[in-house]
Amino acid sequence: MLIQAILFILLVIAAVIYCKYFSHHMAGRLFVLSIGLVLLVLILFPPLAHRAAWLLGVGRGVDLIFYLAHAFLLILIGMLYIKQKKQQLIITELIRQLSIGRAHRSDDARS
Amino acid sequence: MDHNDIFIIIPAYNEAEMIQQTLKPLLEYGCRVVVVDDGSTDGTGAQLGALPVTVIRHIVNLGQGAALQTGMTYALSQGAGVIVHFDADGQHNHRDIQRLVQPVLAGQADVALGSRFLNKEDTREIPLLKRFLLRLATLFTVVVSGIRLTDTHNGFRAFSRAAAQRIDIRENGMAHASEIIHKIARAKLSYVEVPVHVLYTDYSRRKGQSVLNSVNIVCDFIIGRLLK
Repeated sequence: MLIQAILFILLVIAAVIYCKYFSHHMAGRLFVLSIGLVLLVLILFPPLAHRAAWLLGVGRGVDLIFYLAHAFLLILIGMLYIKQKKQQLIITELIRQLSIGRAHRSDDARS
Repeated sequence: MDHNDIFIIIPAYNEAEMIQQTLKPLLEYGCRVVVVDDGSTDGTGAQLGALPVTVIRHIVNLGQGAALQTGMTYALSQGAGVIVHFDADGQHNHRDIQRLVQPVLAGQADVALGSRFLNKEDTREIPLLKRFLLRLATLFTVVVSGIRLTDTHNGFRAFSRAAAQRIDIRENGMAHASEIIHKIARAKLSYVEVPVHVLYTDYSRRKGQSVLNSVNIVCDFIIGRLLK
């Protein structure tokens, strides 16, 4: 089916972008890639998705993929947020050290 | 009072209108005054003129928490014995400084925290909605940090050198107030609340936190704890 090909390509692109630009930790890469792989298998083999959905009490296979995709996205957003917070701490420390190095007495500046 | 090792840290962001008025009475105390200009764009730095204060300027705006930590890092590097946080918007009364630092200087507490709720007259001056939010904040602090205070979001505080060394503010924004209390609890520092007067002027109300921002503060603090 066409939708399977499209989702397959999108997932591969997302995995490449994630590994190339966002995570440099092997554990993080493996975790995200394994979730992506599960999604991929479920997309490519719908009967498997149906079976897994039935076992988990979800109903349809497509619903299971939908829920997993949401969880996948939430985890990605969380990881990006943590990364952004860490960068903010680094930038703050850089600006702090720079500004302390330039500390001066206001009256000295005028004299 | 003449204490050259007492450092008063004043974070200032776009306070050109009020900064001189806030600083001038402080200079009478013989304390070291450190203004952290947090990337102001209204000429706050120029307003400091020839006042004998130390100026540290962030090249971009980072937030009040970051400015306070910059001031504290600087003060500690200069051998500060006591560090006082003081707002730039004229809300705090310079006459309360002596009362605030006294327990720290006397070694009775590691940290002295200003409170608007220890004196009935001071409490009455707090706008009703603000009073309600501050009460909620005290409940939040009890739940999160296990410390029961009357006023958790009062920016008027004094730290001993040892206490300041153990409090590393990592919340750049306004969530630093909750973070400081949390770190006082975690480091098992001794603390005391001291009655202080907070002046609510049109200017300070304009510069103060909106009700909606208190939701942001809570979210920032919780996320900060989760990501620690």
